[in-house]
Amino acid sequence: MTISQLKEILRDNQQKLTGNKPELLKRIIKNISAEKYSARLPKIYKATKNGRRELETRWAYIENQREMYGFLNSEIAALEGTNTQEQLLEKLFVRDIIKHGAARDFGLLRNAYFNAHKFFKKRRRLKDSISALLAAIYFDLTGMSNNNTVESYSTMGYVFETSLWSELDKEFTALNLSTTELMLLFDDAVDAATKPPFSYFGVGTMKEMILARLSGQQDLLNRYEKHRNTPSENSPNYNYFDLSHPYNSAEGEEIIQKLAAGEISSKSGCSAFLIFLVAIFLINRYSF
Amino acid sequence: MANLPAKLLSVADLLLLNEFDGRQAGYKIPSYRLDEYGYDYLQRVQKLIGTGYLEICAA
Repeated sequence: MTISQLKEILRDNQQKLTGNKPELLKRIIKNISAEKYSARLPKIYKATKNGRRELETRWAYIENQREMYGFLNSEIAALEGTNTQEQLLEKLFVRDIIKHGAARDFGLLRNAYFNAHKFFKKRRRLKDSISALLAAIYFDLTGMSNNNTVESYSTMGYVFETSLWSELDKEFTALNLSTTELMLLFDDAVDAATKPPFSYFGVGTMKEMILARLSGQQDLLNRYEKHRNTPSENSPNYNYFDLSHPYNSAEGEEIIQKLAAGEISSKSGCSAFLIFLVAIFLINRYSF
Repeated sequence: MANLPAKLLSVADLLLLNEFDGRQAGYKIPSYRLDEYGYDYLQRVQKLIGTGYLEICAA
C-alpha cells in the first residue's frame, strides 16, 4: 500500500498522520481494529489448506515444468505414492542417465547430468550437484554426441563457452574445495559414468584443461589439440563424419566423381549432398 | 496434459494453482488468454476457487 492510502485509513480513524511508512503501519495495527481497514487492503489469491496440500504433495510436477526437466507426467505419476517428491525426481534422473547411456545418446546423457546438477543445487546438495556437473563436463570434453556419434573437433568451440563453467566455478568456491579434492570428485564422476567408445582427451588431459579453465585460461581447444585423439570414419564402435572436411568422406568423393562424369546434375547433386551434411550436423548438435 | 488420479486436480490445474498462489487479485487476466484445452483462463481460476483450492484474501 502507498503512504497516502495508509494515511487515509489513519485519518478516517482520527489518528496522527506523521511518521514514515513503517511507523504509519505500526500505528494502524496497534490502534485500529482490523475490521475497520481490512476492506481497503489489497487482495491476493492464496492457496487454501487443501490447495497447499496439493502443491506440496505434487511438487514434482511443478518443478518438472518450471525447470524443464522433460519428464512425462505419466512417468511422475507412476512413481507416486512410495516416494517423497524429492526421491521421485531423483529416481527419474537416475533412470534417464542409465537410459541415455545404454542408448549411447551422449548429448542427452550430458543434459540429464546437467538437469540432475540443477536439481541437487536447488536442494542444496552441493557435493551431488558438483559431481553431476563434472560428469556433464566430462561428456562435453569427450566430443561424443547423440546416436553414438563423435562431433567434429572444429565444431566443439562451444564446449568451453557453456554455463557449466561458471556453475563449476561457483560450486568449487562454495564448497571450498582444493584442486586435489575437485580432481578426486572428477575421477569418481568419470568412474561412475557410462564409458564412451571414443574421447578426444584422456582423463588426465581433461583434468589439466578443467584446472586451466578455472584459472581463467582461454583457447584451450587449440592449446590442447596436440594431446587429442583422432576419431576414425571407419570405426565399428562409433559414428564419425568429419564435417570440417566434408569432401574427404566417401559419399562426398562419390558425388564429386559422378558430377565430374556428368552422371548427375550439379544442382541436384550438390543440394542432396548439402542436405545430407546439414542434416547430420543438426542431428548431432540439436537433437537433445 | 495427463490427468492426475481421479478426484484430484489435473496437472494443468495444479500448475495454475501454483501460478496464482500469492498473486495480487487485481491482476488483470487477458480475456483472450485460453489454456491448452481452449478454456478461458479466468474460468479455470474461478473453478479453483469454486472447488476450494484457491481463495481471495487480504494481503
